[in-house]
Amino acid sequence: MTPEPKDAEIRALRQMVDEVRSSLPPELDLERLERHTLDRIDREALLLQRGVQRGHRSQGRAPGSLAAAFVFAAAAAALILLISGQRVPGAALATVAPTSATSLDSLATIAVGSEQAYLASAVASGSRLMSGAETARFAWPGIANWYLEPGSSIVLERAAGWPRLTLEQGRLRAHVVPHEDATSMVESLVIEAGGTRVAVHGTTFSVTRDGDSVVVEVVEGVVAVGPSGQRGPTHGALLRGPSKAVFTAATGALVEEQPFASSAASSPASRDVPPATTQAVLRATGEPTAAMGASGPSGASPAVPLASRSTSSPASAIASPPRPTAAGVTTPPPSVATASPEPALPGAPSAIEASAEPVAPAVERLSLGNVRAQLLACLASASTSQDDGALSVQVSSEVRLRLDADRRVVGLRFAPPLRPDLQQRCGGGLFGLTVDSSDPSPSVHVEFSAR
Amino acid sequence: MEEGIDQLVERVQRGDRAAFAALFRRHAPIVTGIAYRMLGRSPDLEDVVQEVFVQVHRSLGEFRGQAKFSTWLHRVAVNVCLMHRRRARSRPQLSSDEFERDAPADSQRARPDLQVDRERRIAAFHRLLERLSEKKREVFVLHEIEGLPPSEIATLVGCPVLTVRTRLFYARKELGEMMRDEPSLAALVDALDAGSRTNDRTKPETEGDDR
Repeated sequence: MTPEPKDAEIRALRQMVDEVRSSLPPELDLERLERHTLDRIDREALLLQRGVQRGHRSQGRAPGSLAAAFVFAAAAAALILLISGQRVPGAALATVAPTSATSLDSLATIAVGSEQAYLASAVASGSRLMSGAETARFAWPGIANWYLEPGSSIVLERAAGWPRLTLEQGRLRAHVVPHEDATSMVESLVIEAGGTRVAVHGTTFSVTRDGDSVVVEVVEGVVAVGPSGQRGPTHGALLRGPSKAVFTAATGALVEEQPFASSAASSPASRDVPPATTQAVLRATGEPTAAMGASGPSGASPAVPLASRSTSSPASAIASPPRPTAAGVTTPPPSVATASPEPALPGAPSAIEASAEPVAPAVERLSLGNVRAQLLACLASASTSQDDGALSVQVSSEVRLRLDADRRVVGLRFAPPLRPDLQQRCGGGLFGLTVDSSDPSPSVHVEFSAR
Repeated sequence: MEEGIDQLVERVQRGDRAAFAALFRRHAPIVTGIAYRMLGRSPDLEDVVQEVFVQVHRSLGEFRGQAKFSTWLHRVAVNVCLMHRRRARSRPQLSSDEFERDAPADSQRARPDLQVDRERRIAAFHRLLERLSEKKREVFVLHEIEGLPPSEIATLVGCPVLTVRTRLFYARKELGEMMRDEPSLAALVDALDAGSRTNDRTKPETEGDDR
């Protein structure tokens, strides 16, 4: 039988309860926590919105509600036209939309600076937008503005409220409003050109497509380029400006790095791009050499034949996440690494690593975006290496890093935790890497889904 | 003048993001305190605080003012902490103890001896709480630390009130015994014991346990 507690024990217990009740919690960075909490709530709202949209699409509509929807849409369109009232200058355009036959002339416009732009956020998802003989300007308030150069065509879709563009032909330049939270996982604007996907979180860039390769020029900032057709955020190469590289349009694989020449800054067409802190230029060509000359008035430097692996850039700005080894330990980012169409796999050959001339490390300090990209690439690699092809991998986790005084990763934690082997494989690869953060325990949100 | 909580809640319920941010700023320290008392110096404190406010955002639409907002928030926070502990027990974590190891050492350097002793005792007491079974720990923390009545604890943990009282009794008894295992707490018991013996010599009557 358990003896009764002594009087002193009871009093000590009471005192400890009082001390615990009056103890002060550790000071948390509540400002950062507030930002993260609001971000998370916003993300959930987006997911909810997407779910509602899906739900609406899947519901059958009664004839009466269809008629009501038509009347409402007509009224809304009339109202928008009444408000805008202005034609976008120089845009003799037509929209060929799979879901509607609306011409661009009937689209609403919005003032952007001193110009008028078509209100892209009012365009039905799935619409194909084709420019005529002149450049057309589109605006998606709060997210992006873009120019569709003459003879170009895009298909505009929405994903969770964000624009997703498919560049079918021609050239597109865009200015993307940066996220308030640099670590936010939402890709503001995604442009797909064939099998290549280009994603930005906040930058200015342009895309030209004329065939089966894509030239990416980054003046400043960071752009992610990788294979399209994959769910979740883009993973592949991260281009940090100034840099220039050629990718295959079909798979988003890096073909070669080229000397950077800021055609975006000198291009007449780019002069009307709003000033921004970051700029990038993307261009696609059919035959790498010939197509560069045909890529518009950009004055871009001629393409180097694919066989000649140019490393003449002063400092390579291309980095892909460290490749995990079989033991689950990843190596630091190489100075130049390939953008494999598949997520980085152990021992994957690098097209430029074979270069005789070493180049300076591209990313001396990983940004939190780099960290997230690395984790995503590792998760993708882990999912594709599963024996069971039917396995579904879904991850949504906050990863908090612990940095030492030199900003090296000395600890990290997944919340909620992942499978131990995944944590070990993907988290372990970050240990020892230097992260560009003033916060000693920064965190990044990782969402990944693969089926 | 600071806006009243009722007005703030109404604005949040209407979807005002700025109002929610204000609500967060006003109540985050309180929620942090609840999470700290329930979880100790855990590396998950920030996550738990965030989760509480996400839950608040999800549920505030259903809050109709039957209770004070602070009471409602307290219940939400307690629930989130309970759920967090249950989840954490079933899943491994990577290097979670690093946060726990470092924090007391940092604070000990800069503070006076008495405060250091107090923090050591509190840390030791949290360790003892971790040694209790989860069921006993839950009821002890909810009743003794958070001040919830047994009837409400019974609802929260899903058992009869009598069971809550029984668990509470054994939790107190085990903690009293275990305090001898922690040097800083054993010293406290000894000091109180010695003090009571001194009092016994001067004052024949001793205090009873009126709890």
